[in-house]
Amino acid sequence: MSRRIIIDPITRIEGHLRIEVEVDANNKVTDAWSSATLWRGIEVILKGRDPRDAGLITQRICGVCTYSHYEASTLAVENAIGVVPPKNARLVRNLIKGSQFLHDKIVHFYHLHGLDWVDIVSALSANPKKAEDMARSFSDSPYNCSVSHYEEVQKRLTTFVKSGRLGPFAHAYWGNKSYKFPQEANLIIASHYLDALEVQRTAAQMMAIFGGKNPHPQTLVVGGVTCVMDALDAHRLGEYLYRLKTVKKFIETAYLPDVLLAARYYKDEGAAGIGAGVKNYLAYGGFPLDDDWHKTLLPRGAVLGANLNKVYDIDEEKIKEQVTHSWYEGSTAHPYEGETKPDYTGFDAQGYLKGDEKYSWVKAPRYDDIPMEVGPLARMLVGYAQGDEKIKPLVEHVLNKAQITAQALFSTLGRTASRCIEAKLVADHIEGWINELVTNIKGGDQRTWTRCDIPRSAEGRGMTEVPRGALGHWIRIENNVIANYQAVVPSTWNASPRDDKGQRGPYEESLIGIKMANIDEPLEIIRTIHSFDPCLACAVHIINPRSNEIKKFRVQ
Amino acid sequence: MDIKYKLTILGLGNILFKDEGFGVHFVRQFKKKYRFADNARIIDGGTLGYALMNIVCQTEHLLVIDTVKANDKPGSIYRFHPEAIPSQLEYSVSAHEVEFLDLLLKAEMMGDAPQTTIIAIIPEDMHSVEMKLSSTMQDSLLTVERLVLKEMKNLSIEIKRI
Repeated sequence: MSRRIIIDPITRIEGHLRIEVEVDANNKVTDAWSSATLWRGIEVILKGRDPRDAGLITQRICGVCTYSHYEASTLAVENAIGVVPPKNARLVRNLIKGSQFLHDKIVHFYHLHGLDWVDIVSALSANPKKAEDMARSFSDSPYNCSVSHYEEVQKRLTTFVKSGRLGPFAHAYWGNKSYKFPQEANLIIASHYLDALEVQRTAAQMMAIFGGKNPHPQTLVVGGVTCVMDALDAHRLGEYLYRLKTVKKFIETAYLPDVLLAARYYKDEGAAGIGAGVKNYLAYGGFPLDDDWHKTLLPRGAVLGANLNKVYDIDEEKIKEQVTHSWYEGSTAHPYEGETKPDYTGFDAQGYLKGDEKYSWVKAPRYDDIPMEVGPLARMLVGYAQGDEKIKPLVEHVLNKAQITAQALFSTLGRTASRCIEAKLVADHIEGWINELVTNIKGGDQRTWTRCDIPRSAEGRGMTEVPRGALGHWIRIENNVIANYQAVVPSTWNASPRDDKGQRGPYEESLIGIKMANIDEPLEIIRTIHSFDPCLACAVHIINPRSNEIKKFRVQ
Repeated sequence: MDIKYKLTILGLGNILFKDEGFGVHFVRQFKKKYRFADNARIIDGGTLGYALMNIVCQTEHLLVIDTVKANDKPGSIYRFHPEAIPSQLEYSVSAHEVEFLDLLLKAEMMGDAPQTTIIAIIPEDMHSVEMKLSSTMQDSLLTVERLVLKEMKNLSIEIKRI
């Protein structure tokens, strides 16, 4: 008999993700549906505005990817106008974005995803001396590693667990059999969980240096950047560099060794390909290494059917969005022609998603009618398959250290490991951009902006790579103002519902075959979904008390 | 160790969803009207999660302006401390969501949590895709301003009308 499980983290009205899976008598997932509300009405606000304002408005779409949308929007307008920002602007943008990448990946691994792998309660009873030995066997100079520090971490965590105010730990499934780490590994990573809270602050500060302000950086303009004084100031560059070193050290001596730990103890899951999904991967390219984006640090291309022997060039015309299973009217369209007309048909009588009909607010983007995964795994696989001189050796290095094969990358573990490999890749290249910037400025090139005017009519697209994957903004300008605007965000690709042909989206496909240790604890499902780093639920803030107790606090 | 501000006023919300952006609209208006001493600051936090940690940890007192869901009429204003109602606050299991209150707990875990007060309003319309507040919310800006000025006075923060 099959049974339906719903994982529906509704805490807010907008922007949540709901996963429904069907499991058989052996607790194995046989089918899955992903449904979400996602920001789809951006053109409502943007229509009729000056295209140069779009970046500042679109950065409000999301609470995690603010800079991502800011960049994609600016690139779209630049593409429409046909303007190329000067070298200094390109480098400064890479610096801002680099800080965002580092921040995002650390926060994701430890704070958003870590507790899917790590059993905090188990860490409390670990032997600190054994933990120290273990940490030293995974890194030559492990981060913040000592018996006394581990004891202190246990003390701090015990206080929290005992207080009953678990907060961030409240919804974990302690003791579940799908937690595979020994106690000591749990303690090592739990201690880095706390260290990472500090380190991510440092990464956030990096963004402010060239972002003009943080939160919500505002130094990008169509044609370049405005942080002229910061870019020309050696002191500011030093501030940035100093923080980069702190963050880089953490990536190398905590994050990477912890991922290697995961590869050791979750090896079987990687080998079995658990959580692999659609096995088609798409990347647009990001972090330009030249002003025309001919070379990018993060690659551009597609890998199909897990075949690492062939990489396809991207034909942008093949990107289309389908709405057969999405709560919209209309037909398959390229984002330039895309429209957003809601057609909400609700849930079935039992309160389940109508899987055969429309069931999600996310459209189904497809590349040449194929569902594609985007994100760090896609980028690392495309780079690996291309034989990219920066990516391939790094991937191989990590595979060797972890003693796993490239095939194991097609899994939840591989997705999580790829994010770390990518963090290292970006961290390794940021300093080079600083040096390039200094050299260029010293050579007399102080340009930070290319003059440009908004044409009467034009269309353009901004395609880039952001922490969660391939991001595209498409803009059409008429009468000097925005006539249409569409954003296809990474989570649209990954969280997409079925398409015209009934092909599942990447989240959905990745869940098929997953076996749950305990039917009441969807740990394995959450771990796989989290490995994509979903970006759906962050667009709205409202405090939602559970009871009416709040009444007594009324003041007006 | 960072030097801490005495007070940080933090407005939260999404300005693309009408009244959802109340906290941010408040910050924008307040900034235009008042100037205050260097030991205090006012910040538009948008809907950011972890990116706000640094700001939250760099202050002794934190005054959050936000929206709240309760069975009451739109425009009703609440003032509370997060620790006063921990058991009723709902923590998410969502795929990605970072609740602001979750962030406060993590700050506490780091030993760096500020003393926090939340002033929150019940929104009228947080579904429409508009960047302007509804008139009920617009009218409430002044009331919240009065409450904020009172909080600042209690902390002896110097403040000047521009």
